[in-house]
Amino acid sequence: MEKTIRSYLGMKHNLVGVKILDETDDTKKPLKPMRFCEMVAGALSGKEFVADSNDISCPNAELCLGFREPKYVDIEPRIMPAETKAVYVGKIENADVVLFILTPEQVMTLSILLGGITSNFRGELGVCGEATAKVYMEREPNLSFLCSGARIFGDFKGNEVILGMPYDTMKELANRIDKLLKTGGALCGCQVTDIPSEIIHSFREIGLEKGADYFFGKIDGQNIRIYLNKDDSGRFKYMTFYFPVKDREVKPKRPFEVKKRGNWNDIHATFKPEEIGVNLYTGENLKETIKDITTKVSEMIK
Amino acid sequence: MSKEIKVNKRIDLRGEVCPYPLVKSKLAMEDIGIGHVLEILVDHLPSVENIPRGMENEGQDILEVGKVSETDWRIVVRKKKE
Repeated sequence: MEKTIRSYLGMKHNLVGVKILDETDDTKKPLKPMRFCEMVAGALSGKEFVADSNDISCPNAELCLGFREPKYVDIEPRIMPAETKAVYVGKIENADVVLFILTPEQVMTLSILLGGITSNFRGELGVCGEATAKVYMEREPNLSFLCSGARIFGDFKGNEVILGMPYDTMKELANRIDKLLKTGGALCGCQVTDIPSEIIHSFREIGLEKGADYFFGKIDGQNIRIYLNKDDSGRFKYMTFYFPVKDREVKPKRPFEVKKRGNWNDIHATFKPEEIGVNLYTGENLKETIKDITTKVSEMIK
Repeated sequence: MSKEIKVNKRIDLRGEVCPYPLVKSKLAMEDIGIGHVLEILVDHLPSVENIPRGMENEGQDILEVGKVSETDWRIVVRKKKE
């Protein structure tokens, strides 16, 4: 399910499952108290936590997640009644709420699939309240633009927002995407993906997943993205290879060039499939050529 | 009752949202001595809960938490621990 959704939306991060527990569990305790949004950020790269109130260093999260009742003024959204003993943050299986970190474009795609997404937010309590507690209480997806705390402590980027949805909604979403892919991917009259299924199949055969308009994955341990570009008549005429490399020096050799992106260097070049001996539709030579190009690029990285 | 408390330092954190009110309150506590009193003015509702909670967690004494206008809240804390 997760793979289907991430692949369809071209998501960079894992989905994060949150489960409210009525008993504590010491097996996955954080090493030191953390903010809830920090735990969610950790889970984006596969970490898991089970935290009780002593493990949560943010008073807002303690309140929103239902570890305690407010003392002076009522704060919403929060889980009521406050009977939470621990919270699990990690894998999505059997979660109460599933969290998605998305770009606005991915939210757009998702909102078409879900028939609209409601966003009720105030720029405060973004992860713990608006994306988790509200969704837990109302059993409806909610989009939040995060909050200062989450952007500071969770290190969420300026172009990222968070969507919380009940686990069952996420299951329906994955089924809907599956069906859509089998029927060619048409959504409300506009083609969200117009890459022919034979080409998608060719790339999947060699272990690359489809993003919104590209394929991505690892070849020989090297991250790779391949965009299929069209000519003026709308035919897939070019393949643009991107090899993102972090914090390492790159000496590009033609036809490759390097584009800086923060700490990343994107090594990229565009080819005509026929010039590099690839038949996109049959998949002929695709694997060998991509491996060959990857090997050449790896030699440019120090 | 609030008039009886001698306040040693006041900070106005109206217009600030989390996490700044709690962080700035903790920094202000570092500037006062043991036994001295800090008055904090906030208008961000979650701060009305999390500043007292954060201060209590650090062993400080919450003397008063009260609404002073339609939007503003006053939190009064006595420093008990460095």
